[in-house]
Amino acid sequence: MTSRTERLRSRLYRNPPEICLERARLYTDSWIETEGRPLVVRRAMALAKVLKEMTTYIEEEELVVGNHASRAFSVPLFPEFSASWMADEMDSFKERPQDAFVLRDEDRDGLLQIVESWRGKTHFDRVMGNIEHSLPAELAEVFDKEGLHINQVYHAVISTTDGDGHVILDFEQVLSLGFEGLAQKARETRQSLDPTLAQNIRKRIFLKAVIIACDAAADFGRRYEALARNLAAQCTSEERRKELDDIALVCNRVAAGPAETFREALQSVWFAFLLSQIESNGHSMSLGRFDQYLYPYYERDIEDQRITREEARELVECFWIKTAELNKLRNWRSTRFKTGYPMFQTLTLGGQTIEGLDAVNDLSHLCLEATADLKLIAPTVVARIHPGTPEDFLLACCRANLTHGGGLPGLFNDQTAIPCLLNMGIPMEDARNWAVVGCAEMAVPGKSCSMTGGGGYFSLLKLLEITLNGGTNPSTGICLCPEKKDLSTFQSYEDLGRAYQRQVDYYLKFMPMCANAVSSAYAEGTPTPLLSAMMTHRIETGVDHSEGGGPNYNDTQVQFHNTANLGNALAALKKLVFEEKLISGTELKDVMASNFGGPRGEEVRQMLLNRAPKFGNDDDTVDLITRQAVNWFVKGVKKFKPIRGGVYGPTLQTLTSNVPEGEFIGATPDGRRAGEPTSDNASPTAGTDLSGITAAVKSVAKLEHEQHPNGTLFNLKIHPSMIEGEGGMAKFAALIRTFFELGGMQMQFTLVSAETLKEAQAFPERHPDLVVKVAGYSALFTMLERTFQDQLIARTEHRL
Amino acid sequence: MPKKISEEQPEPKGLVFNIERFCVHDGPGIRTLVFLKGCPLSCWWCANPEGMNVRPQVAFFPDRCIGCGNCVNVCPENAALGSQEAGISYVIERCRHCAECVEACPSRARILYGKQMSVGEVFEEIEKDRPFYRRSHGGVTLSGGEPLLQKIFSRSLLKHCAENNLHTAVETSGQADWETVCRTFESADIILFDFKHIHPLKHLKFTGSNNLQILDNLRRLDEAGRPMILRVPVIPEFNASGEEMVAMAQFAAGLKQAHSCHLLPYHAFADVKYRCLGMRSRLPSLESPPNELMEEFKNIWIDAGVETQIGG
Ligand code: SF4
Ligand code: SF4
Repeated sequence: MTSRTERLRSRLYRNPPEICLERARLYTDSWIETEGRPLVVRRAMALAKVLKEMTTYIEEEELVVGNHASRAFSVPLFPEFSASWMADEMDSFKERPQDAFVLRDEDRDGLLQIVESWRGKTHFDRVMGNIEHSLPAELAEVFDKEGLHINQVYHAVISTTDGDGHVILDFEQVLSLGFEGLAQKARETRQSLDPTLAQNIRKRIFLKAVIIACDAAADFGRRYEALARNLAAQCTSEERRKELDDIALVCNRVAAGPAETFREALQSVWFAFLLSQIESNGHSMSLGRFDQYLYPYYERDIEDQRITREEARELVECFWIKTAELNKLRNWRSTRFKTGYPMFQTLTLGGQTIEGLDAVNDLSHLCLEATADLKLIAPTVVARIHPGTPEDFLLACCRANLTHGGGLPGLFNDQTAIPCLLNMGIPMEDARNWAVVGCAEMAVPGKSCSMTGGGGYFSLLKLLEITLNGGTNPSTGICLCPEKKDLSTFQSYEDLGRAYQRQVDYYLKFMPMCANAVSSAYAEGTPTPLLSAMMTHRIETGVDHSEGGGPNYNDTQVQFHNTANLGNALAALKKLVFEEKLISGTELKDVMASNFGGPRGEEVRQMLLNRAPKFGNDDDTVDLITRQAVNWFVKGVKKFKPIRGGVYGPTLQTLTSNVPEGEFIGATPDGRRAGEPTSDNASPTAGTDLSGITAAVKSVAKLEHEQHPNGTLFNLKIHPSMIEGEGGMAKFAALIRTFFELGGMQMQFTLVSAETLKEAQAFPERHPDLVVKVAGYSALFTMLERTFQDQLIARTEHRL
Repeated sequence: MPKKISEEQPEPKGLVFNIERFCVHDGPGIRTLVFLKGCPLSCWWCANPEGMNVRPQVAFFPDRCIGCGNCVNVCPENAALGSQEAGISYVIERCRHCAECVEACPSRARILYGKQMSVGEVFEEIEKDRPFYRRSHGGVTLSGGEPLLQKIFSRSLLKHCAENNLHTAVETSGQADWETVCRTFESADIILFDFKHIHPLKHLKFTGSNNLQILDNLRRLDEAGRPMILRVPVIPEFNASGEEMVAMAQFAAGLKQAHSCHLLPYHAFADVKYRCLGMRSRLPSLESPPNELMEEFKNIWIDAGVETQIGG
């Protein structure tokens, strides 16, 4: 950090996040003014109005400029996606326990008015309408309109209230053309489209919208140019005046045409990235291969001595801080699934070139340094690792992890990701160019129109609960697919397995039904002409991004949740009920119904916990069951084709949903009590992987990761004492390499600090699996006595 | 395919009380530690009390007990007593460590330390982490207890691992006759040799044995050119003084080869285990030597010319 970026960083969170009505007001006004025009043109005009009239600011000392809302870390609103909840929840924004926001008193009425004018006209309303009118009546009836799920098994919650997001723009195109260049390209394409041909009418309208949007984007840059000049004129410090003059020049250049210098390129990427968010309201807008598309500019500037490495690093740090300023208001339900103000702005480093050579360069290292130093939550920096990744880069990633502590950079395996993309029919050159979108989704920058949220998620454990109860969900009382048998009458494990598969087949079909309803709603109501212009191929094809279709690659995400719980539960049933017969099906059913109550309740629970194998201990008897159970779903979704083309892409990621999701699942045969959280992502259930890190790593690697183009996530908690020092770093690196060699896809680390240990001391139930290494042996931290915990806390602080 | 263990003899068995994966402080790389039960010394600060005794031992962890009473029902010796209401207790004096209660306990409140395992069985466990050893240049470390006390088993296991191209290490007190040390550790690539004290009487008082044989073995292994790391536990009231450190460092510096040294600060984390095993810690709840003191000691060793680090 320089003293400048240190100050910028410290100012970042000085105010509580506020709600900013400006965008919503301008957008709504425009919407009323443009009634009757083609939809996509209205969208472009509304964006143009926002960009023209919204507040712009340049903070003291900033070098990279361009703001999202009228204050940093405040949120613009997007009422065109969903609105009524804003009125319903408005009084609790400030008080809610997670991700609170301040709504100024004077803005309350304004917000209510905005909500009123969008009632019945939002994306959410279109989604609901589509579901209601497309699903068979008896199914539409059971669709829970509050919870947005079908009998708590399939949840269509993810993309119903927000923009789609989840893309990486074609930043190379933006850098080489600039916004005016993009507008020009759209004009030329439009001129070449014969207006007498039927297929061209919609394309010409779309391209008209693109031109409006790109011109507005170029003007937005010019607004910052003017602002910088103004500020410079008033500025008393010579030094700052010079900086402001530079900012003005840079903004002027990137508004009009291609970027020439590293600094212009950074500014251009920031504008493109920011504008796509002001337009589309999506989260998980990601930055792609930042160290690749910016390297030519960096290399040239360094060579020509136009910039020093330190100056470049300061600019990168300024850029990082800008990403951390972006924020988003979600309704309470979505918030619980994504806590901690996340924006999922993922930025990918390293990996291979399209020729298959190693791609690491000095800018990759510089980005790692900035990440470790700033310790921000954004951007989400990740690194691609392949067998040819230089050891010093992997070690730098490890060191950055230790310094950052909170899990950046996450590491991804090229050797699994690339086959995954090839499986989807993507050619090698593009597959090698992949980058991460959002949490773990694999995309080809500019070319993948991933429709990540539309697919929703399956609660695998809930479905098991339903199977064990003869097809009825005990918490809703709804039975959609009756079974003749239940846990008390299944004759064998195979019997149970068949019943479960029948339920899987039955419920899977809701996924395409709902996902298509969501996908069409986007195309019908919220096209994104600016974002489309910044993607590869969309100007040429004349079709909006939201409609999908080739030559872009498309996939619709479908998430499978609670995999480890499911595997553990099946393994426990197999071993204890059907093989060893230590517990009868009838008894277990009763005991679970009473949440492990009754005289033998706790004993049965302890047996389920301790006498049956658990995923995460390198034990094939449960690991392979888990793998097979996940594959039932993976195989099942392959039958369906999404409306936007391409495939349904499975993923084992859960974000923070494992907590709220657990609340509606009763006691389960893995020993989990009713209401307790489920396992996260592809990780073992917390507190059950007790055979050492290598064993957990091997278990997770046994899943078929290459079947999950939207990624699998593996959270690993490691005590820093295990990897400190250069020798420790090498072991850490070896652990990562081995996981990847075994076929794993992604791993991320929590390297717990003394702070965490203190928290674990106060709330042991939250850290049941925190292992601390003490020279001769290992111990579970929470099992240690308080005084010894104190000792360890003291020692850890020193070691760090 | 791992190579077969010699067909002629019956496979030796060892008494193993733990196999721990992903150990990073006990030899190079990522390692699996095999803990062998039984030790000829009884150091006051021992961090693995469950490894001292040569026989299997049952421990009772009251924190995990749910009071189901299964152990009371199965115990043939009346060593498990009580009820849910009154609380469950464990009368160590009556216990014959038959492990009936371990089988019956649903909640792992009763743990058996010490299981007879063949070389093949142990090797199978070790083999599981081979990909990690390969990447990190790690391997297997025999620890304890004291591997020398199960000399035939230790020797066969080390040999078998070495024949199957695994890096092998042992952690030892060095307390045995030279012949045994030599033969047992024949296939060990590196020896982590516990160097506790320079003074025979103090050694006797705190470990139950003097250090004459130990230091003799240390010298002879050194002369034989065996790679070693000296492991020095730094124990308050025993050896945690500048004077003692200087004497030890000088001894180490006088050896033929340059061995590096690991200074391992005392900790009292094993106290719970002592209690649950019905044993008494001889050094309960001492403060760990402060970090500054450890640094000071480290400098003493370095000044004597020994490459030294704190921690393994
Ligand atoms: S080990 Fe045997 S004798 Fe000892 S408490 Fe358990 S059942 Fe009783
Ligand atoms: S069997 Fe285990 S849980 Fe039950 S009373 Fe005995 S020690 Fe406690």
